[in-house]
Amino acid sequence: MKPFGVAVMMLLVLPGVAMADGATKAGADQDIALAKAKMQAAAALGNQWTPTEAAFKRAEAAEQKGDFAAAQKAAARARQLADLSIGQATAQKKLWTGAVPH
Amino acid sequence: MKFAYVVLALMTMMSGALAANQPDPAADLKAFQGYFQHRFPKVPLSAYVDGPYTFSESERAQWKQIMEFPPYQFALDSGKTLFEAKFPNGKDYASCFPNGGIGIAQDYPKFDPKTGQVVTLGSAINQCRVANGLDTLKLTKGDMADLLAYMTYTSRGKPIDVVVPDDPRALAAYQAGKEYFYSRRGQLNFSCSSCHVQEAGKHLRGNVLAPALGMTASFPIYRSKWGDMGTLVRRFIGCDKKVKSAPDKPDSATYRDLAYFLTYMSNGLPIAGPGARP
Repeated sequence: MKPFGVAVMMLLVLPGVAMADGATKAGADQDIALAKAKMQAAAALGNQWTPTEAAFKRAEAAEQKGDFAAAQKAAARARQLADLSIGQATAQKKLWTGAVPH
Repeated sequence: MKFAYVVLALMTMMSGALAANQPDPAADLKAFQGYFQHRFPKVPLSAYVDGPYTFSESERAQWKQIMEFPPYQFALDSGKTLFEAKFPNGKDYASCFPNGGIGIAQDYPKFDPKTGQVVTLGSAINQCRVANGLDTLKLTKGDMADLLAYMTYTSRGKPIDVVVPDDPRALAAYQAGKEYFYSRRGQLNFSCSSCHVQEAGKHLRGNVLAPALGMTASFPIYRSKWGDMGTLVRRFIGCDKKVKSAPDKPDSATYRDLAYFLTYMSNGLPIAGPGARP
């Protein structure tokens, strides 16, 4: 019974455990999910950037290793880059015609 | 009466605005080739198939020396062997194409009214393979590049003759390719036209930027940087990566439409492939 009780305690406590720098697994997962959603929006516009993909991979790898602070930082970067690519694609929907020789 | 005039004027204006948004490949072709002729009045149209060597005398001289022993020769030999080999069912590539596949490269990419899609010569080769029970080939290099090298070689000197039929699906594909070509993308914020129209003929570090006009005429190419043969779609993927944009899949409609637009812009110029580039 004792080991079971310890395991249950750990399961309840671990997700909320804050690292020394305040980053948590829950926080990292949330930031990764937000970045993923932005990247899906960028992909739908046909304008994913390679640095966005690289930042997202870094976030996932850091999360796997348990480095939640690094995961959150990389996920935030991926989200920021995806945002910029969405802005670029949206602007280019109108601007591209300006480059056409007449 | 006044109201009728206003309605009539509005209708005229609206139809004019709609016409401006309608794809007009013939007008685009005239403007595109006219742009290069105006910018480089001493360069004859047919010379654009030589890519970056159109502009640099010294590099052109070096290239001509290289071409005395063309680096793509191995691909021509291999491509001819592959092309002439029989499939397990006894048929061959020739059975899939008009004129037995000889001297037809200038007509590609084509619009297929049955599927409503653009078909490049590479995707037509893969369709032929699938129809004969074989797996598709990678569209970027290897056997596909060799087959394309041989088939393109049999079209050398023939004027590019890509057709955009008066079919809304063909016009939409053409327009999609055009939009892709002129749209900035990637973290570096470049479009295809940034380098190959606006900056064509200028140096980017040690390289002269090739003009978009005539660009497709020399593909597939042996590229010294690759140390290998590569197809047009390999180059598209490379350009996208260079501007830090995630590339599409080689057989994506995006790249087929881009090839459709870009090759159409070189209509009338002679096929010069396979080629050799730095």
